[in-house]
Amino acid sequence: MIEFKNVSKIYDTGTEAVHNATFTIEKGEFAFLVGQSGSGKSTLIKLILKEEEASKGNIIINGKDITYLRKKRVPYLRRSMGVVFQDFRLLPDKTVYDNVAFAMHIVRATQKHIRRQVPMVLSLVGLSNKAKMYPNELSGGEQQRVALARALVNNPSMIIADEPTRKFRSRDSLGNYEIIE
Amino acid sequence: MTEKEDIAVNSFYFVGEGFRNVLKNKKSSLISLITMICAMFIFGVAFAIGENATSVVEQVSASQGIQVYMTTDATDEQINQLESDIWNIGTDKIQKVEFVSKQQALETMKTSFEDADWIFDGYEGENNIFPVSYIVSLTDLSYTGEVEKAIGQMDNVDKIRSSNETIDTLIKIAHGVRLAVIVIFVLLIVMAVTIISNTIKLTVHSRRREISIMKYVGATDGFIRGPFVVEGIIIGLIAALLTILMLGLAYDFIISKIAQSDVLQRMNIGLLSFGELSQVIAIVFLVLGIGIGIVGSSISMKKYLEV
Ligand SMILES: Nc1ncnc2c1ncn2[C@@H]1O[C@H](COP(=O)(O)OP(=O)(O)OP(=O)(O)O)[C@@H](O)[C@H]1O
Ligand SMILES: [Mg+2]
Repeated sequence: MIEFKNVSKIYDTGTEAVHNATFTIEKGEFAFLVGQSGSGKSTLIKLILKEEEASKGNIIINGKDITYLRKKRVPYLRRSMGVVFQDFRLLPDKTVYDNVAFAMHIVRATQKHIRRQVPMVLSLVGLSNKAKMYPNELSGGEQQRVALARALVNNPSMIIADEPTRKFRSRDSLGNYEIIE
Repeated sequence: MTEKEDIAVNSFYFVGEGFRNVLKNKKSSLISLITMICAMFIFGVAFAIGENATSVVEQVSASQGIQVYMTTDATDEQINQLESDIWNIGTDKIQKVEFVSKQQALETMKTSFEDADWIFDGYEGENNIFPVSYIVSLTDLSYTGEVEKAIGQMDNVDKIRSSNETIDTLIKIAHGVRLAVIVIFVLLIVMAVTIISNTIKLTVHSRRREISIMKYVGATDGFIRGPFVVEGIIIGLIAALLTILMLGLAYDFIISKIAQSDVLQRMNIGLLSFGELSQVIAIVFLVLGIGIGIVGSSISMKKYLEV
């Protein structure tokens, strides 16, 4: 489902964040990518989302080489996966509810569907009682759960979550991981 | 799913977001609104002046007409013949052909010499030396030259007196005013688009993070642009409606003052009512308002959609 072939990423600054990465993650697989801070985990995810262009190699998602994906198709690539960004990327002036609902508006879900689905996902991540709050009124962990709810809400076939490397990992922290149903 | 479908399906969402944006960004909404109202108002004033100038020129010159003097030996038959010949030039050009008899000509002379009409005492009846003439009014002044030429070639025509220099000058002025209105119009559009797209650029800039987040979550450019375009349209519409209202009130007030002036009343010249102008103005404003809204928001968003 996700395949990297000899992928390298060198930023304009000269930093080589990814060096010759080759791996395959199959459907239903649950994969972890662990590495030191600054080792290139977030960069790898940015490459998958075409937020950054690979300097070398090929990335194949669901059988399609996204290296040559037309610009117009990029939004649809991004919709095919739910992503929890390291910096969460929540819309600051939308409530928790609207942040999650927004992802559904994008895929032109009906109002009825949105009204049913959003509260369900919010209760799944344990934020039902914070639906009307704004991101800056939440703790970091709560913000991350909003981001997770947004990633889950459209039932994507893959979930990608990006976490920074922590010095002391608590037991439930997964680090960088990908869930593929 | 294509981007077009995206836009169609989401229009309801866009309208909601658009209104919310207008209210949320009160300051920039107000700047855009005022800019648009100013631009439209200036255009409206220029347009009203231009249309009135044209209308006055038309009325003045229509009241003049071309005077066609016949030779004094023309028979009644020839006199009638000339009238039908003139009409034959075409009813699309000839609006009115008015006969002036010898007697009427004499009367006209007498009235213009009010205090000394005794001069003409000896010219009554058989001694009347004034020729008969026709006053030909045209549907449009631009036919003057053509019609004069045609009449000049007809039988029994002695001389033609027509569009004097005053009318020519008036026509030139009216054309000049029209040209000025068009120039003002173009300048105002450029100005309004520039200012408004800059205002929107500020809004967009302040929301660039939001826009990039939307893109990362998979929103298309059209989806992101939608609320901004709606925002532009809303502001454009409000500006158009407010300007028409203000312009109408100001116009009626000023016109009522001008119309009372002696000159216009004596010359029997009427000014246009706002109703006669409002149709064109309304259409121009609505198209302009909505157009500037769309163009302004599209121009200013371009840069921020490249994520
Ligand atoms: N936009 C950028 N321009 C230049 N260099 C960058 C850019 N983004 C990341 N880098 C560099 O690339 C390397 C990898 O960064 P990346 O964010 O992928 O690390 P990471 O593995 O996610 O780290 P962490 O666990 O701290 O999140 C770092 O050395 C970083 O400085
Ligand atoms: Mg990272």
